[in-house]
Amino acid sequence: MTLNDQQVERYSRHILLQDVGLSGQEKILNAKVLIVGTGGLGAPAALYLAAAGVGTLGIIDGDKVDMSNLQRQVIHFTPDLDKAKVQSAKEKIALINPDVKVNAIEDLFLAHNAMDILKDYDFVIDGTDNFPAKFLINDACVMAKKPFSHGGVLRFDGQTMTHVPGEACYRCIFDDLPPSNAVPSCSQAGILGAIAGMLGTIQAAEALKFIIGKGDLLTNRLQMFDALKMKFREVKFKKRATCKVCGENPVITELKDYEQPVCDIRQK
Amino acid sequence: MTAPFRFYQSAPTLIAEQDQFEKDVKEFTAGNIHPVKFKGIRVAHGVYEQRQEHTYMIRIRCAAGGITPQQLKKVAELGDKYGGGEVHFTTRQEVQVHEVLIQDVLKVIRGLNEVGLSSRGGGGNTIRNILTSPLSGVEKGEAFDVDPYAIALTTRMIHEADSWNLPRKFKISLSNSAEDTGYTQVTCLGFVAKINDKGEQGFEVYTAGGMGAKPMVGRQLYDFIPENKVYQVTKAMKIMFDKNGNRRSKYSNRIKFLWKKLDRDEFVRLFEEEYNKIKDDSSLDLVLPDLKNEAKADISISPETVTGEAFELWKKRYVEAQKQDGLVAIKLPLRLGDIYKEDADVLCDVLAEFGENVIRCDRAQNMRLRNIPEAYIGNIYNAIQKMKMHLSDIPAFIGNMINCTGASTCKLGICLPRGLSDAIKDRLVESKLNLDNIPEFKLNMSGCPNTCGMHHVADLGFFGKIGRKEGEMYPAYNVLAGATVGAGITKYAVRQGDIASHHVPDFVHDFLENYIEEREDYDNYHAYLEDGGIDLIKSLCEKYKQVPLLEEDPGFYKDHGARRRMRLDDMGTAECSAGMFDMINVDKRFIDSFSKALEEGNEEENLFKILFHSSRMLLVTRGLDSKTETQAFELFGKHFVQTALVDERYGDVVTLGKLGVKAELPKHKDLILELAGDIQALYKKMDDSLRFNVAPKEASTAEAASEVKKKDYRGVACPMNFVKTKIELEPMGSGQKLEILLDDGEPINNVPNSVKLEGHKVLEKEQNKEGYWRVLIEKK
Amino acid sequence: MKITINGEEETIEKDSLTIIELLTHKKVDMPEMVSVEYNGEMLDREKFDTQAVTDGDKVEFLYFMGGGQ
Repeated sequence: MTLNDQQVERYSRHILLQDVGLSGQEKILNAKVLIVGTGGLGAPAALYLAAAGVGTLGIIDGDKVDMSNLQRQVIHFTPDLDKAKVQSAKEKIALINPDVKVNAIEDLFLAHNAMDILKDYDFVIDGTDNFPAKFLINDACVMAKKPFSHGGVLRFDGQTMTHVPGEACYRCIFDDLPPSNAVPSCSQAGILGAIAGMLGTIQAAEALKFIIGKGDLLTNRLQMFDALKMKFREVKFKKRATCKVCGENPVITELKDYEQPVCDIRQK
Repeated sequence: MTAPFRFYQSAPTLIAEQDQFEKDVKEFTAGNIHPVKFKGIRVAHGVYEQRQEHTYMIRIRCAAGGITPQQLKKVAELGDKYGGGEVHFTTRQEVQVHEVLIQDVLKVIRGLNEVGLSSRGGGGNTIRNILTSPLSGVEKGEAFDVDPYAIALTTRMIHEADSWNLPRKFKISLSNSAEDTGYTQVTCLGFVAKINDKGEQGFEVYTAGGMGAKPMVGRQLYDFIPENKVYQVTKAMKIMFDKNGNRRSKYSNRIKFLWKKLDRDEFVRLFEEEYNKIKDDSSLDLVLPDLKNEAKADISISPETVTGEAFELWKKRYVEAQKQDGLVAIKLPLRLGDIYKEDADVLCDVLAEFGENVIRCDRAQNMRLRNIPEAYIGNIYNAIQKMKMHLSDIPAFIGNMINCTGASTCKLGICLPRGLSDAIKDRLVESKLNLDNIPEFKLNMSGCPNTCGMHHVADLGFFGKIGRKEGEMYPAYNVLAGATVGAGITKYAVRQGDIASHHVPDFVHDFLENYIEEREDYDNYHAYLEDGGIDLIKSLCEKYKQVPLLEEDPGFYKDHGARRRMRLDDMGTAECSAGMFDMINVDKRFIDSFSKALEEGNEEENLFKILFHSSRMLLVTRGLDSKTETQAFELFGKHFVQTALVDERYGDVVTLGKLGVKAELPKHKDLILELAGDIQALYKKMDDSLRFNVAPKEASTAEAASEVKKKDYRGVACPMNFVKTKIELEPMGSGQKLEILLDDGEPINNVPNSVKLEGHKVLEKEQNKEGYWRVLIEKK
Repeated sequence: MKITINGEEETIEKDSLTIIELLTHKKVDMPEMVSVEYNGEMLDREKFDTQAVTDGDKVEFLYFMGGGQ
C-alpha cells in the first residue's frame, strides 16, 4: 500500500519512530482491533487507536450513553445522551480519522456471538466492567487463539495484562469468577475517571505494539498501579498447568455466559 | 499598416505562463513559496536576483542580437521606470534591465509584451538567446547572412514547450564565416556558414563547446549540412540532450559534459538516432524571414554634414563600409555595456529613421548600428554627441574591453571587473599609448572563473581570485593570454600567472606598451606572444609580485571600486568557486614540501604541518576561513570529519592537532599521511561547483546495480523532511542509495543525524552554491 | 520470619503461616477477591489453607479488578 501525502503527514509522528516507520504504519492501517465495551477503558482506547490509524475498529456495546458515563467515557459527549454508545463512538472515530473503518455492534458480547465476532480481528481489547464478560473474553480469545489486553480498574487502582496465544491467560491468575457476594458493592464502584483513561491508553499501546511487532508486551506480567500513591508494580507470573482454560487439562472447552453481578449503578 | 518587424515571435502560451508567474511571485512574496523553488521558476523567466536582496535583473531575448529602435526605447523606458535607469548590453548579445524590485518584475515583463520582446528563457535550463556574428548580413567576405536562421530558429524553439525544461542551459550560435565571430566553438551547438564545392550554402556544425570553470572547445559534428537542416539538427540535439543529459547533477550536465561522458562515437550515435528520424522531413525546414539589409526607402530627415578631426578619427575608429554599396555599419562603444534611458531615446529616435533592422548587440557589450546610408553618418555622429555618455572620442580598444558585472551585482563574483575596467582605462588614457594601433585587441575580464567576461577567448584575459598575505585576503586576478578564435582552430587562452588587482592597470599598461612598440615586427599577436610576449607577461607578474602588508596599505586589500575590504563571508557560503583554487593550491604545495622535509627528520613538526595544511586545504570550499591553526583543525573536524567527507577515523588525530599535542603525532604518522592523500583525492573529485563526488567506499558493485534515488525536500520543514526520507528508505534494499536535498538550518542539522541514528550511512553531505544541502544516504 | 509481601519485606512474629492465615493477618477482608502468587507460582485456591509460608518466601496478593465501564 502507498500512503498518500495526507496520510504521511497525519502519521508522521509514527513514521518518525524507528520501531514504527512506514512499514509499521502500514501494519497499523491494515490492522483490525475489536474493542469490547466503549466505556471507561474502551473510550480512550478507541480514541487512540482511531487516531493511530488502525484500519478497522470493531466496537461492541449494548448500552446507551448515560449522564454518569460522561465523567470518564471520553468518547461520548453531552449531546450524545441516550444515543447508543457504539453509534456515539462511531461518529467520533469518523471525525478523528476518516481512514478508520468502524464495525459498530450494538449488542452484548456473549457466549453465543463471541466466536463469530472475534474471528475477524487481530487483537481484542477488554474494556468491559464485569467479571462474566472478562472471563468470557479470556476464554473466547484463548480458544480462538486471539491476543487480547485485559484491563481492570477499581477506585484508584488499575491492572492490566496482555495475553497472546500460548502464553499465560487471565485465568492463570484468576482461576474463576469471584463469588457473586464478593463482587464490589455500590460504594466500591467509584472510579477516578482519569484512571480509566490511564489504563485504556496502556491497552491501546499494547494493541499497537502487538500490531507493529515491536517491544515487550505485558505477557506473563500483571502490571498494577495505585494512582493515589502513583506507584506502579509488576508481578511476573507463569502459565499455570492447572488453568481451567489454557492448562494441561482444560475443563472449559466451550463458552458460557456467567451470572451477572448484582451491582449495576448505571441504571441509577 | 503592416505589423512592426520582430526578431522573433513569442509563443501564444507566453501570456498564460506569465499569468502563472505572476501568481508565483505573489505566493513567493506572501512567503508561501520557498526562495529556492521560486528561483527555479523565475530564472526560466529571465529574472535573476542581484547581490542586493530582493533586487532583480531581467534578461531580455534578442535573437541574433537584434532589437528594433522602438523595442530598445521601450526597454529603456521600463528600465528607467522600474529599474536602475539604464539598459545593459550583455556579452550574450541581449539586453538587461537591472535593479527591479519584486513587485515591479511583472510590470516590466508585461511592458515588454507590448513591443514583442520576452524574457522567457533568459536563464534556467532553457534554450538561451541564439547568437550570431554581429555583422552578419552586412560584412564583406561573409559566406552568407546567418541572422535569418537565428531568427527563425528562435521563434521555432520558443514555441516548443520542451525548450523550457532541459537538463541544463542550451546555447546556440551561428557564424557568418570561418572567422567564427559568432564563437560557435565555445557554445553547445554552433553553425558556421560555408559554401561547399558545389556552390551550395550550408553549415559546418560544432557541438559540446563551452567556457566556464571547465572550458571545452567545441568538436566538429559535421563538416557540412545543407542550409535547410539547421532546425532538424537543433531539434535532434535538443531531444538527445533531453534524454541523455544528466539531470541529477546540475554542475556537470552541459552538453560538453555529455560528450566527455559518452565519448565521440556514442554521442554521435545517440544524436543521429534522433537526427535520422527527422532529417529528411522537409516540412520541418525553417521558414526564413525576409531580412533585408538595405537603405530605408523613405528617409524623412536630411543628411547632416560634419567635418573636423574629431569626426574623422571617430569615423576611422567606428564606421565600416557594409557589403551593400553606400551603407555603413557603426559601432557604439558603450561604457561597461550600459546605455542611459535619455541616451537611448536620442539614439533610437534617429535610428528609427533608417528602418527597423538597424541595431545589433555584440558580444563585447557594444551596440552595432547598420544599414545607415553614408550620407547620414553625420546624423549618427551628432546624435552620439548629444548623448550624456561620451562615446565619440574613445579609442576602439577601450570600447572592445569586456568585463562581467562582477561582485557589485552578481552573487557569484569575487572581484569587481567593472572597477578594474575603469582603472585600466584611466591608466591607459593618461599614458598616451596609441591604442588606435590595436583596435581589435581583446582585453577581457571576469570577476570569477565563470566566463561571463569571456576571458577564455581573450588576447589578454583576467579572472578574479583571492590572494592571501599573512592570512589576509586581497583581490587578485589570474592572467591568461593567447586565445585563438576561428572555425576549427579555436583555442582557449592559457593561464600565465596571477597578480594583485591593484597592480593590474600597471601590468596592462606595461604589456601593451611593449606590444604596441614591437607588434610591427610580427605577423600577428600569436607570433609576438611566442617570441617574448609570454615571457614578458611572466616577468611582469614577477615584477608586480609585491603585496604590501595590510597595515602598510589597507587600500590594497580593497578592490577597484569597492566600498570595503574583501571578505570571504561577503560572497555567501560556498558561492565563490574562484580564487579558492589558488588558496587550495597553496596548502597543497605546503603538504608536498613538508612531506619531503619529513624524510629528513623532525617528524613532530613536519607531521603537524602536514596535518594542518591537510585540514585547512579544503575549508575554503565550504566558505570557511581559519585565522589560526587551532581554528583550522576545529573547522575541519566539524565540516569534514563529522560530515563523513573524510573517514571518521581521522577524528582523533585532528583533535591531537587542535590540542597542539605534537609529540603524539609520530605515532600516527601513517594515518596523517593517509589523510593528506585522502584530502588531495577529495579535491580531485571536486567539481567546479565545489561539490565532492565522493564515491561510497564499499558499495561500488552495488552502485552499478542500483540507480541512486533522488528526492527534493527543500521547503519541507522538520520533521516532515525526515518522515519523507524514511518513507523513501523503507522499501529500498540494503546498500541502495538515496540522495535528498535539504534546506540549510534546522533540516541539515537534524535529518542526517536522525538518518544515522536509524543505522543508515550518510555518505555525503554538501552545501550547494545556493545554500541548500545535498545528502547522500546508504540504506542500512 | 521475614517474608516479602507485594514486593515489600515484612517481619512477622511467627515461624510459619498458611496463606489463609497470612491473608487474615494482613487484614484482607475478602480473600475471595485475591489470587496469590507464592514464590513465583500462581497458587491454586484450594491450597490456600495448606500452603505454609516460611522465612524468605515471596508472596503476591493479586486482587480481582472488575471495573472498566
